Amino acid sequence: MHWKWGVLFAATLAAGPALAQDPGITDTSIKLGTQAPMSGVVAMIGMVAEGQKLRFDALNAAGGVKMGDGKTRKVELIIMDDANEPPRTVTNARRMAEQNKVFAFVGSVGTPQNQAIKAYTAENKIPNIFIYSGIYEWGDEKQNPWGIGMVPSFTTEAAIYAKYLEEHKPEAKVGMIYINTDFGNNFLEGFKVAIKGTKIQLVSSQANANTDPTVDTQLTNLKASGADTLIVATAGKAAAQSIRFAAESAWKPTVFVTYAASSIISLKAAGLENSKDVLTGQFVKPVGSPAFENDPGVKQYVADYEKFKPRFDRHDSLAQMGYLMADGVVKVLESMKAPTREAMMNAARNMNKVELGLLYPGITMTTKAGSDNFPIEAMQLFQFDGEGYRPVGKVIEYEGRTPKL
Amino acid sequence: MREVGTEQVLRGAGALIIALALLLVPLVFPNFLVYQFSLVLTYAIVILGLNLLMGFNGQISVAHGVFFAIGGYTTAIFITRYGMNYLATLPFAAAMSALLGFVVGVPALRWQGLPLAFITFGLAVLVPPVALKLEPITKGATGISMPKPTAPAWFPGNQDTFIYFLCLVGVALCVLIAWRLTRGDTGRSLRATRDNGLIAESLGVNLTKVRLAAFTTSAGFAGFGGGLFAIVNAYVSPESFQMTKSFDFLVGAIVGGITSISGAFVGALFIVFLPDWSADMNIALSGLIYGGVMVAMMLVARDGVVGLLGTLSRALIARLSAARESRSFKTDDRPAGRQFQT
Repeated sequence: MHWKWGVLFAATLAAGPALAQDPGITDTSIKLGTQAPMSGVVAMIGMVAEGQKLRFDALNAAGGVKMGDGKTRKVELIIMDDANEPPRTVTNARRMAEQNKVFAFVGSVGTPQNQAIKAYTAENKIPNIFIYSGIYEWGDEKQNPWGIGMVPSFTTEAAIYAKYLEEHKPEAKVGMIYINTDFGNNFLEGFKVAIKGTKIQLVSSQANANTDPTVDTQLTNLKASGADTLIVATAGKAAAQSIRFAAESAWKPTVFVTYAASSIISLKAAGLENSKDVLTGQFVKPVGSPAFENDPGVKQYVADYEKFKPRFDRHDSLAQMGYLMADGVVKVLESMKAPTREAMMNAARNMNKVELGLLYPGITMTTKAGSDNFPIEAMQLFQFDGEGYRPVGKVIEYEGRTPKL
Repeated sequence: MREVGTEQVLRGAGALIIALALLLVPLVFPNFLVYQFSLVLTYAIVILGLNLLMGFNGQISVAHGVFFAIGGYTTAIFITRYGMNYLATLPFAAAMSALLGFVVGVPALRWQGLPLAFITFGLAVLVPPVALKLEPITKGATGISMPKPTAPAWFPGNQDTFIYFLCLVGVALCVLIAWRLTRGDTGRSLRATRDNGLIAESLGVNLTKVRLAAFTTSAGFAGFGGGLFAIVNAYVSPESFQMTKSFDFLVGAIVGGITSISGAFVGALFIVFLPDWSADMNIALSGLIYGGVMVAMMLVARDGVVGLLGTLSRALIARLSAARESRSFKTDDRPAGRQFQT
């Protein structure tokens, strides 16, 4: 055989796997899809997608991401609006996978929304990485062979508050208001597990629905139960109403509020004076805080923000969350050993102390296939001083030990 | 022998074209669009029911999203709890919604117009939180997942196509029922009730009975569509049936044309695809585009798309026949939207 034919043969062999590669990826680009409610009642959550776009825009402007196979690729992000309706999440996911041929879904928002596409992504082996939802279920590899979350499980957050109480208020009588979704239920169950064997008591727990016009009834019951500590495991206006009630009803318990409702914007709704001394856990750097003015991660975010002028406020915590998640996706892309969907899942499930620009100092992402599918498992406690959040104590971490339900 | 006018021929041809187009969908479109067309068909069933009620009987309902949800949940619960065959759940889905329609209808139908709109609107607001609260039955916010029906061995196509054809059979059944109901004595009493209650009553039509029957049937249609919707989606949750769904159906019915059967399909296409298209145009302005198109539609086509097509074709026919023969030949005196077109 002539040597030229031999070369051609070898080249064909080498090209073989490349031809069989997964959709949405070439030698110079990778296509990713995300979705969030960008219209409808909770359209503000859509900023999570805008935050991701900012990170990927900055990445592309810098030339792209050098992936684990040695090739540098630009990220093409497709954003779709599901208006918070799970059926639209499904049609969007199918459109993105079958028409736009995305390689993977990243940073998709919402619990029922991601539950609705769970079967589809599993059946078609499409990664759905860094789902923006804190329910415990996403860490269960068997239930979610092709999906993984990113933010701490609500069980972790509940355990962190229990731990703080154990140290500072060991005989606390806790009342909890929780939203009657998987979010609130996970929080409640996680807290019950966390206080087992301690002297902390859960004296009352009250559920609310996000359609309740007011939560005064629930809070009156909590107050009457004799609780001296209030945990607010609900979001939106119910959280603000709870904080306001606790301060204005002359009850004045120690108040914890979930990170999902702890942005200064939502505290403003409760009244900043009422929010004084409220405790919360956080894993994102406080971008506006003077203490972080010279932090390289924050500076990068601010520089990207100034350069691309996205359509959200710089202090929008949801957009920052999106930026953080996209940053995590970039790390996964960098460590993918092959340009395949399977390699992406492997990379997401085997992260070792990965640092991100906006992740709070001391908090990193670690996962291990088969045993630990929770990327972030630590939080720093903060207390609101009437103007901003001040850190309290050290980072509390549950690395590899996210409390089970 | 009855003379077959050009218009009837046109209408027949229109219906035939729609039927053919529906049959061809799986051959022409990729799988995900076939899936979306299945959704269109389930919505079309609801809008068909709404058209029966609004266009033909002159009543309004802002609660069809609720009847749709009841149907969806009935199917989901019967499949997952009682292991029932998915097809066997559909009559129950229709019956449950019809029952609710009946229960609501008995006190509500004594009023018409605005009060009825108001009562049904109340229902639309009421039901999503109830679905959340009834957690033991509805699984609350988590929703209910169920297996998708798989295509049997004899079926020459994939799962999406199979489900699409299931929906198509369902739609055909509903179209047949609607078509029967709008003809003959039933159709006449429905229309008479709408056009002039006093005269209808004096001719022996029991207004309350007719209205109640129309409302119940219409709710049953919505329940049937909801059941199919649950099967197509393989998942139901309160967020799948937000209050806005009721408005979507209303919009679909009006856009398609409330007095037509094919209008139901046009309306369903509109509410499924327009949000996607407007989001494709500009995701930040999608709401604006969607609303703008709605306003524009109403300015151009007050009787819906099908009404507009009817007016245009009538104008065309009139012009053609005027050119052909000099004797005056009026094709149709009735206002375009008032007739039940096929």
